[in-house]
Amino acid sequence: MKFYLALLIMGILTQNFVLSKFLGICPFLGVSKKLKTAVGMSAAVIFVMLLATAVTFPLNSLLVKYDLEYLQTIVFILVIAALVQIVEIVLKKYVKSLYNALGIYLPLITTNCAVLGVVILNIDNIAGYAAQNYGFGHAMVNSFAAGAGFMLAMVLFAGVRSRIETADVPKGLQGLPITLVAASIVSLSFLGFAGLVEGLGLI
Amino acid sequence: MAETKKISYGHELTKGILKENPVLRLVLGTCPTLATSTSVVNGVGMGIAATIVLVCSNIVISALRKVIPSKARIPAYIVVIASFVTMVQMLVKAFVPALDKSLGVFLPLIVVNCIILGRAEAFAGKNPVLASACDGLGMGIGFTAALFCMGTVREILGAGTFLSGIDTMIGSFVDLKGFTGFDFSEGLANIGLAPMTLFILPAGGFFVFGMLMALVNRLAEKKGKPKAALEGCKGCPHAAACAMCELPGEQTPEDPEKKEAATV
Amino acid sequence: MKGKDVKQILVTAISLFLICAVSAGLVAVVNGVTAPAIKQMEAETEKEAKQMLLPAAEDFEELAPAERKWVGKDKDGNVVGYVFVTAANGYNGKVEVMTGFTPEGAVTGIEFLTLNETPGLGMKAPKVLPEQIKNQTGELTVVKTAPENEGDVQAITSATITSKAVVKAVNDARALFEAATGKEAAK
Repeated sequence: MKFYLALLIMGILTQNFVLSKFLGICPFLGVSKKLKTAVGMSAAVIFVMLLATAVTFPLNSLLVKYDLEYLQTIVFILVIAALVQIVEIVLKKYVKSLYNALGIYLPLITTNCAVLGVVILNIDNIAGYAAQNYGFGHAMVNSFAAGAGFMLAMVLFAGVRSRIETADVPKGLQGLPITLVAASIVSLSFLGFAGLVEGLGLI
Repeated sequence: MAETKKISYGHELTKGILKENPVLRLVLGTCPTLATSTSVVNGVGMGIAATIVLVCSNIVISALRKVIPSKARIPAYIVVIASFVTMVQMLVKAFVPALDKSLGVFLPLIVVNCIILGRAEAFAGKNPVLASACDGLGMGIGFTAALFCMGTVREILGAGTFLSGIDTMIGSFVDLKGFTGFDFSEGLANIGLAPMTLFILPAGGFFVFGMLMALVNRLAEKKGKPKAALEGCKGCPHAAACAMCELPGEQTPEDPEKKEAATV
Repeated sequence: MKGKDVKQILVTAISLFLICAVSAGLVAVVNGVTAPAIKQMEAETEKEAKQMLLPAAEDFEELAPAERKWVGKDKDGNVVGYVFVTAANGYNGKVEVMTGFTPEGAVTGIEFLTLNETPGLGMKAPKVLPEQIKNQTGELTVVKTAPENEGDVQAITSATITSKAVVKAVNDARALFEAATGKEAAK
């Protein structure tokens, strides 16, 4: 139980996917202008991350069984791409309300490095957390934490950006540069969480 | 370029280095740029790996451009790119294991590096093989150059070293005569200074990237060129397939009709 | 019209399938070439590391198959020490450490097999930590100030997590050593 909590805290705060692992920077910079789109995009990311992990984690043991680990990257990216397509079609046809909320973000997610990243990191964790017997449940919690961390970063940053819009920014820094500097400060604030997991004695 | 059918290989090769630098002008591939530029050797290693994938995939995709049905274009590109990434990954593991370890998850993540899929979609899928190869090489060099700049600033300011770890990367191919990179940290300590660790940390990555982009914007402005920006989805390889571009109020100006289309 | 649709779907599917098949085949070929090279590379690094930790040993016998525990023997067959590979989680993933022990239980040294920490911080570990850990005979603890007690290891500045991971790996190796030899850690 403690380990699940540790995974959650690490994914959301101490090792935030966007701010300390640099995964999913493109949507972080591109879609964080408005709070509404930031939330929608992150919700779609969480959804796809969970789904992708649910499929690829068992699939990996199959690859290992047949000594095909070297096909990992190809298999995973294809699974994610196919999955996103299928989800989009299914949602469009049967769950209209969910499709309206998330559907428009789905195509963007196929090649979002955060999704492929979490899937691969989950596999790496099997060896890294061998002592904790890292399994399917852990992988799902880890994926959720990664997605929730993504959402937290997006939502926080949407707030920061709305302040920048009205601020008096030096001419040379206007646009993307000041956005990146702001991201730097948000990332800096997350450094304050370092050591939280160890401090609480969760690991 | 478009009006004259003749292809200038020199232009295709050099445009990626400065004018259309994928990182600093087109704002593509930001994730690996930020993550792997903690040191020069790391960043350049990433750049070279991505360049190899980019050139190979551009060549193959360009050669197959008339065979691949347009509907199955994106998945086909992804398969080709993923195969080359896997091959590069295995070669790196076998011959430069230190690079494999320091790049970690970002080595397989070259698959989703927008520069590569972006070039496949924007260039290789429409142009002949040799031009695509030049384009890929140029873009790759541009990517590597940007990583080199970022890495230099971050490593010198953040760790007080330059080219550290070079022995573990190319030591087995080139005789470096015991050279393991410059280390200024002791010299700095003697005069009571310490490197600013912040620059190595993620926060420093964002900061240096922002500053570098401001500099490049300034240079571009002097030449009367537009600023680098994530201009909606123009820079995004999925612009054609992706509905984000039509998001109300996000990238395009408010358009009630599109809003209708996106939400209904 | 319908036949045309079906044909289009078939053409798309078949061409995608062909691309996948060819790609997978090529990857398999490259894998066939590189896999032995990777294995050999890993084996060599491991062998070199073992030799560094127990220079007196002529031969390394595995204590258990594929568990990366070895007992080092000189040419007369006398035990000169033990080597264990253990891992712990650092700031940026797995930290894999090889630890050597004398038959009496003192650490002869540590070698890093996998270390992927922040450059300038955690990556200083090979420069800073082995000296402190060498010759220790008991359980190690990480401290943030200058070491006072036996077994104290001063953490690398701003890289406590890495330091803790390394120390945990060494402590785990000691547990393996005790299990292998039946010796208790010096209290």
